[in-house]
Amino acid sequence: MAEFESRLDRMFAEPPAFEDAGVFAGQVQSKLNRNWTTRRLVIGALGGIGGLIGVGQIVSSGVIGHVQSLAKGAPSLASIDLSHWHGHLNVGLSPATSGAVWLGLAAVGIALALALSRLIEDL
Amino acid sequence: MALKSTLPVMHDVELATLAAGGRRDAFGELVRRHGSAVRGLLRRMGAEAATADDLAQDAFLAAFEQITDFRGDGTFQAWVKRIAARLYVRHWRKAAHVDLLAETPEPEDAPRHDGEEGHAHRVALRIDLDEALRSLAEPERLCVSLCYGGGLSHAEAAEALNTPLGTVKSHVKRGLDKLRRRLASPEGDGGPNGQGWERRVHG
Repeated sequence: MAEFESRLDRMFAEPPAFEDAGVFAGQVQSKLNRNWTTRRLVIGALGGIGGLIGVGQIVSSGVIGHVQSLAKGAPSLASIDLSHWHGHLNVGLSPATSGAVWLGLAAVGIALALALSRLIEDL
Repeated sequence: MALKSTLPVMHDVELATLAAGGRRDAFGELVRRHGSAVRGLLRRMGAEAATADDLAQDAFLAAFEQITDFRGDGTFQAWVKRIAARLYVRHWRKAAHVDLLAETPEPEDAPRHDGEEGHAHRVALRIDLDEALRSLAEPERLCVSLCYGGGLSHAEAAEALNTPLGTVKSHVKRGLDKLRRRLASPEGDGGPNGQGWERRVHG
């Protein structure tokens, strides 16, 4: 009995030869690629939408104007006496100009451009 | 980083590791290596050719999704075959064949329409496993294929089929008895490694 079962195991383990094995593998690969692309598109789209909502929130909250007004009233970094940095730490770490905000937005833009280029590459 | 040209010489476990890192080409190599085995198993379980191929594709896609679960304890082929076997059982159950699994009295062997001489002739032509499986009743074929082709234990097969363990064991025993008779050769060995058994499977 055990001998026959071993033989049966071996027979099951021996795969039949299919003439269209290459076609089958190609079909699976295509589906894999399609699923992968779809997934990345969805993630990218959701990320983009989230980013836009975030930027919209920042803009609508008037934070840029607030930062600009802060920048006008704050001393420039060059004028800060570094020997008294303990007392001016908060001022030193705050954005000296609205350029910092634009720099941040530029970074977001670059990130979006990179994401877009990867998507185009996948497509 | 492994080059695409080196994939064909890599071990399955290495390919699976690359696939887990998102290398779809590495997984594609695994599909090329084991696609026929999975398709063959599903056909042996009783699936029509088109259904078998669809389910085999689904099994590989599911395997890619779960590739991090493959630890290399067993072979990749055995792992993906188990996935495929379970998918087929789900498909089979949806097709409302569950009632077929109910215990039935031991049937008489199917009448031989061509007599002993014809039987000897068939044996001389080396009836292969695929043909032998086709001679089984559907539940017997399914249970035998699940346990010997899909690598499921009797208990796992019973759970997958949602049927009592005793019923599965009964179908397996009956199926094995029939296969043993069917695959017996006049010399009693029938090819020690299943070698020489003709395979006439076409896509």
